[in-house]
Amino acid sequence: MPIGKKRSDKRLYFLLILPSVTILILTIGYPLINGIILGFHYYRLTDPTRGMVFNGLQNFRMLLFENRIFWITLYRTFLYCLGSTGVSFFFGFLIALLLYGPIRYRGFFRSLFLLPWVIPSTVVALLWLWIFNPQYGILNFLLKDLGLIRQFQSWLINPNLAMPSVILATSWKFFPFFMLMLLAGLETIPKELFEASTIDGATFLQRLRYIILPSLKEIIIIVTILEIIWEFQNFTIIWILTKGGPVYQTTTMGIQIYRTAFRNYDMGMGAALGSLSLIVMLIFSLTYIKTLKFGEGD
Amino acid sequence: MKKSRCVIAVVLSTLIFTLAVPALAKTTVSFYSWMAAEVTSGGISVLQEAEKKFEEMHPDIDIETVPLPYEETPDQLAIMIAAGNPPDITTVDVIWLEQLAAMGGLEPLSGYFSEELLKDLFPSSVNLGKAQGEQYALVWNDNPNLLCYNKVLLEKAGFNPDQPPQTMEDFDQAIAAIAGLGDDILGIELNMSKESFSADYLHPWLWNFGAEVFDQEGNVILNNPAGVKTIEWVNNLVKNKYMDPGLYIREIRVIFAQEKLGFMLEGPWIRGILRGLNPRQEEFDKDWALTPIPKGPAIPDDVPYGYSNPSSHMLVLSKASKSKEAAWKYMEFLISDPEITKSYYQNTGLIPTRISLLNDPLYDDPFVRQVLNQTEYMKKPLGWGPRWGRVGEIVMAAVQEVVLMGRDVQSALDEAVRQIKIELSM
Repeated sequence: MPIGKKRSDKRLYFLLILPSVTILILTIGYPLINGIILGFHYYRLTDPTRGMVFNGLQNFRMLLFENRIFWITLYRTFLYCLGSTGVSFFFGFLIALLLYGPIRYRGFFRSLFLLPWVIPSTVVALLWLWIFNPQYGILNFLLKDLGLIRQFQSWLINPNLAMPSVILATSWKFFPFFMLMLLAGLETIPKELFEASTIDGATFLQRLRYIILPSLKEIIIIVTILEIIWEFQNFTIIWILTKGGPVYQTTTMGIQIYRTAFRNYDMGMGAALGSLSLIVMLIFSLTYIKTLKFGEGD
Repeated sequence: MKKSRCVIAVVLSTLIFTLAVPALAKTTVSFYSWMAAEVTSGGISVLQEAEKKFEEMHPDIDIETVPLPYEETPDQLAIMIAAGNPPDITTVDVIWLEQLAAMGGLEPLSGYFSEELLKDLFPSSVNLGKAQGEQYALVWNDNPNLLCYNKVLLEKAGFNPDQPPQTMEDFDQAIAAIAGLGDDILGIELNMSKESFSADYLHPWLWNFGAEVFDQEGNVILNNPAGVKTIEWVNNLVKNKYMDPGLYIREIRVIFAQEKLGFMLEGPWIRGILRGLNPRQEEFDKDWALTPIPKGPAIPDDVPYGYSNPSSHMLVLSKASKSKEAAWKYMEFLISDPEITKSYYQNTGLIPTRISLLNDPLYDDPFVRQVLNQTEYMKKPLGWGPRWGRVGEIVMAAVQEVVLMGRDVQSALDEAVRQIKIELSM
């Protein structure tokens, strides 16, 4: 191909992606850079006379070395991400396997299980707020009738139960994503493999271990990392259910950033917290990209 | 010639029309309030009535009432102030006034208060509207927090329902006796959420034991023996199962309306809310009452009750408002119109602040008397200021660590004091 043609092609590609890149820079790049810069400033809405003053690494020093809340929040965020991803994956995978089998009304069940994913997060949170209500919540009545608890529990205020409760609500919302992806993955496994394993007398667990899991490995890695990234940013469900309490038991990064910036009006500190959160997210994203091995495709 | 006349006529009529439109246009005043949002509070219909009456009196002003939930008001208003598009008038709770005033988005009101208005307000009401040394708010309703108690449960527990506890010893006995009436009955509920307003609600008990978060010099003293004693008292309520620390303010009100709770801390607004929550509506009024805070050991002898923290509803005018005069007219109307304030009181329980209005026989009842009695012994917590939001959260996180996680009171308060000092050093 002549060099001139190659150059004009490149120019065309550049022109074609220019509108998207411009929008991305304006909507993501600018606020992101502005936020990072803000993290190096003292800026409180309640102190307008002082305004925005550059204070170097002061906010970061405070968060990392003097204020215990950052580390508690980071730990709680990991707990929440791993917990909700794990539970969502478990139920999503289980239901995908069930729906992959020869069952009646498959389409109906598939749509039914997809419902939680379609419902807005706010509605999901309010729904679970009622389910967990210590006075009239259905969960207490159900567990008491089954003899699993002796007395009604305060699911969202008990320090030992708050995080599992929030994880449960989040997992209910997100398991359909796993179900859908894994079901799609299952459909791509050649039927011959299953037929051969049946002839060889393989049990279900052997099929799971030697056929299903290796075939779905790539999808599992992608969807779990993607889910962890989403959960890292999740705010709505936790805020509506517990507002980060009791104490700091369900305070994740998103909650703490909101509290710092919009409850305590400390924009500088909130932005610093956001920047640290961005670094943690970047580590995850890089792992994600590395896993996908971008640029090595055939 | 004919053509040019036509052109002149068109130009003239356009000019007349253009000049006339602004003259005919109404001044719009936006008014954001949670009283327009809370269905159970009883205020929605009265605000609609107020808007209609005011617009009839002032045809050139258009009031636009916008419902804004209570919990969202400080955040939303702060964001709107920062963005430069706040409403003209907003209802705020006195507990947020210092923070909002510090943001610089509120219009100082000293110049708007007439002599006649000032004379007709209690000096304490005027003072509550001050922050950062300036008058930023007009008190709509002067609300102290009082002890709200269930008379039927108190009687069942062996006490005279018309003589509620007046000292902390009597109070403790009544709580225990009510909680002993049944497994599903709670003696008392205090708001234990991590929000800073829960720390405001803690103050009557802190004062009863001689504690404060800050002293007069601004030193953090919550972890002194009096502070420890207060939190131990709260912790004992939980330990003895007199109180469920897992209930939020709205759930507390619901179980009170279900007649399963002995005591809670509430202001006069509770009447409208309880009527909305209990199926017997107004009939339920006779089964509960408000009474001043029982007197604790640290309250001076010449003070008849415990001190209460204010939760007064206030009206603020935005500095960025383009219709300040019209907005002030509506603010004054809301607190002054005899019919509207009467209707507001009857529906919500909220009492007018203008002294002259209180002369109406309607306000001569025990409910109003108790509120006014407590109003006399109402004081601002010493910690109120632009940073109180975060300080209040730290205080409540420490209280939660004690009552929910079993942490030792002294160490939890020591840690809270350390955190507050770090927070204030930033």
